[in-house]
Amino acid sequence: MDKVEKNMLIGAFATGAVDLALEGYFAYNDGQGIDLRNQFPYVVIHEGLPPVDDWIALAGFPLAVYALGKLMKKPSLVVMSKGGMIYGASDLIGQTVYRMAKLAQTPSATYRVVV
Amino acid sequence: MKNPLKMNPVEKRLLLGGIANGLIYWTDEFAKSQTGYPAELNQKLDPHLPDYGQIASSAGPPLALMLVKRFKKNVKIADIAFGSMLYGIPKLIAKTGVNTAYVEGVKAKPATRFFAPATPTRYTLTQPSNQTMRTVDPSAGKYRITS
Repeated sequence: MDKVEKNMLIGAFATGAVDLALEGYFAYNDGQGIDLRNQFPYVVIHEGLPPVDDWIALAGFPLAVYALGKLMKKPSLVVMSKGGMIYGASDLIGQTVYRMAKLAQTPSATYRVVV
Repeated sequence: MKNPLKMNPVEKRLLLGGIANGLIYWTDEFAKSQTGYPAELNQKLDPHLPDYGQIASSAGPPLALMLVKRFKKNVKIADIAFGSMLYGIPKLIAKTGVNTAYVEGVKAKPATRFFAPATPTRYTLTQPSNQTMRTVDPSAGKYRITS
């Protein structure tokens, strides 16, 4: 594995770690019976889109690392952010497709029976 | 100004590999809610670990692509395989961490206390059943009402 691949993998793992921290906090409280839904950052803006904590971890964090790398003129940070973006974009796209499919399955029409 | 979204062909193939693996993972998650999903894929070796379906859908594609790469030496397949690995392996680790956090949360849950019904004592405010209410003449008894 060359240096570029190593940096990309580090970036992907770092983004995964941020995602794990946010999801893990939610899961820990869920295990205790504490519901954190509708509390920032576990709010859902639209049922078909991932919640805000996923946007923060999967898009916000890699973009922040990218901006930091460009600001500090560190190519290694930029490459790490690209690895993180690949992980983040893949999960966001996958989750969006999943949520949209779930939404499409949920019956939303109401029928009124006139007797 | 340089377009930040412009990617070279290698980056495009890496992203393709990652997105493909992401779609496979979330398709498996969606399939769990459908009828006909094999029950074995929902089972876990340990409560801390992801279930077999999640392991297969996140680690399976990169492993399969790397196997193909070994036999058919192609740079494009190698890029797609690495992109798939950039998603699959961190996702597996993150899922393990989330499951562990949930299990630890359940363990740390305070025990539910069941309050026993109050046993009647002489300090209870309720009227004991063997006594009846009676009106006492204010002039009778030890203390007299003066005003």
